[in-house]
Amino acid sequence: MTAVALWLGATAAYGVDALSSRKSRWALVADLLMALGAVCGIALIAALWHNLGRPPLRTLGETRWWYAVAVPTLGLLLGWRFQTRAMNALACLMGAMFATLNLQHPEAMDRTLMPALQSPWFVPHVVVYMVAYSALGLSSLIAGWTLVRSLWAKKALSPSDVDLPHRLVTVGLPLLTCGLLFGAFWAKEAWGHYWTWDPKETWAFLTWFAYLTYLHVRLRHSVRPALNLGLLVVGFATLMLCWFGVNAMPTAQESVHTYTRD
Amino acid sequence: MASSAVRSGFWDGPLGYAQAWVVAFASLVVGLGFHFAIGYDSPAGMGAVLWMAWALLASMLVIGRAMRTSQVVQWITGIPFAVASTSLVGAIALVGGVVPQSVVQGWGAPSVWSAWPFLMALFPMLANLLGSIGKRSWPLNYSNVLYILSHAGLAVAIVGGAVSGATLERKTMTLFEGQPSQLAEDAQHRQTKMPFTLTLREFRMDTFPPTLAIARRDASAPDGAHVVNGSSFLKAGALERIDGYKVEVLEFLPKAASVGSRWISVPWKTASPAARVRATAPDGERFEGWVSCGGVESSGAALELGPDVALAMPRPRPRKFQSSVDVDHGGTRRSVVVEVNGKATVGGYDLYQLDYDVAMGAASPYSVIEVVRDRGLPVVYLGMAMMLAGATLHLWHGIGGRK
Ligand code: HEM
Repeated sequence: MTAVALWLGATAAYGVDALSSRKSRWALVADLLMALGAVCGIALIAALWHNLGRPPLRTLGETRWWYAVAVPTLGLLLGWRFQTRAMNALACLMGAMFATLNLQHPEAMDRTLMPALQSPWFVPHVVVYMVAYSALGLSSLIAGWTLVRSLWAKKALSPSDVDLPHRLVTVGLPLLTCGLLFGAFWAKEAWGHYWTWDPKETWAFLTWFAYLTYLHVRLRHSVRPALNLGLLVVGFATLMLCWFGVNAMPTAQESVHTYTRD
Repeated sequence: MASSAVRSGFWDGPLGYAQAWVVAFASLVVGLGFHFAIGYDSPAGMGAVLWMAWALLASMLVIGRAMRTSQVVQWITGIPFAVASTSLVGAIALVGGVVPQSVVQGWGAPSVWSAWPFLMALFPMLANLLGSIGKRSWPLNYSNVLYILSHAGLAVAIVGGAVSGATLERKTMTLFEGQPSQLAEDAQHRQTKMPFTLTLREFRMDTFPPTLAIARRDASAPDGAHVVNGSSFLKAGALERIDGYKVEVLEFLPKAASVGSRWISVPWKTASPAARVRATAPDGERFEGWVSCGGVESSGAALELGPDVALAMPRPRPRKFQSSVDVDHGGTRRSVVVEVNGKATVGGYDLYQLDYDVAMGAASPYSVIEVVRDRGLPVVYLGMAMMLAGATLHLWHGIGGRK
């Protein structure tokens, strides 16, 4: 629980950073705060893991924590790698938003882990997915933001506006592929078949396909930024439905995964 | 005359998205046609069509290579065609993701995934995929190998999936303790004899230690009560705050039975846990008494904290389901353990823990084992391994920032 207090500090740091990252002389301070926030976030997850005695990857709330931490961390690392600070402020805002969401709705801790989840594939599958979601989420957020800004300012988009979101997809999409495949290997071990078109699997497939469509369209039409960015937004909408929406779908009752029911 | 001129103009000009969408749409129409004309009751009819489709698709590998300079082949193996055909597959998958299976069955197909429109929509997509693999199969430079890894990987996985679908044996065997059984039942409840005999020695269900919870009567909640779960596993001396109450565990018996208003320790395997607890309300009022989740032998007990509030022990969550099974396979005997996430293999069949008598829990007199034989699996794994290799290389480039 002390970790939550730490995280509040980190959130504040993200807020300061989001405000200040525009001004170049503040950029270093902001980087430092962002890094500090990332460290706090990682400490929080480590503490959660320790307190629960199992990987904190089971509930939606728990995966949201990974997401809240992974988005800014990845934003920082990839920004450094790609020599840009353009996504830092958005990454911070997104991390802070998810963290706040979690703090607003604290979940009762549940230390149990049902047997189907006790697999060596569990951690790689979910962690790879969360990192993929982070990269793709950032990508689509930047895409949406760029679209809105250009509509607002009535300024034409240039193909270079797609560069940063595209590079994020080149990181996120292979990870999404790996996550999907790990999931299939795991399903074979746990349920006897690698693919059953369970609603969750169907939506994971749709998310994958949506980003594949973006990739192939972009390969051919790199000079149509609005189309590219628009497809990224569609991809993210699918991803969100896959992550949070599946439970609310009319198909939700059909899960064949007996042991995932409580 | 005029209309045919327009027509030929449409197909003569540079082939692009418009024509690709027409082909995708046509495949859907053909699928719907088969849906009504052939339906799903004639495996022979379905098989004939599917074999023909596969033969055409296989030839795409060669056509994609041999006629790669032809405009039409360029188009079929190009990106507009890929985008249109995958979008159609995606659109049908979307139907499968939103519409419940029962509704789909009302339309006459067993499921979206084995429905003619879906199968036929896959056809242009696979034609594109296989054709482009043929096209890119030579020279074996780095870019082509990377292309082959992701695209042929996917194609191989899909072919493997089709082999699985056609040959998959997936049956269940319900084993009662001590009774040898050779019978397996498929999804249609047809019984077959397996080449081996299984005898359940013991079914075990381990649980996590129990926890406590506060329940308040609440007509608007799904089960008529609003429940706040505690998080610490029960042990004597444990102290925690649940929903404003301070809760202290005075005594904890992992296996207990009730005697009047008291609980005592007993040695039975299936006995339920019980705890004597003290709860202090926010206003300082104290309550003390026994709580238990109950089980096969005893009904549970809760501690009343007010007219509409009680402290209770939810059923502990399962940690492990495990069947110890004796196997007799052609005279050789051995014992295997089958558990969730821990299959066993007997005579080419994989054995999975599937089900048990949920009401009886650890005392379940039977265990349901799923037996699976999937001849497509090695092919699927080969395809998935290729895709994994492709994805790893793509990731490498993504992070490296190079093309
Ligand atoms: C497994 C996931 C996939 C990944 C990672 C992927 C990735 C790529 C990449 C990176 C390229 C450009 C490669 C190059 O030109 O060297 C490409 C091209 C292409 N992809 Fe995919 N793709 C995938 C799935 C698909 C699917 C499902 C289809 C269609 C059914 C498809 C059809 C095509 C086609 C037709 C091209 C152009 C090939 C050419 O003209 O040379 N891809 N893909």
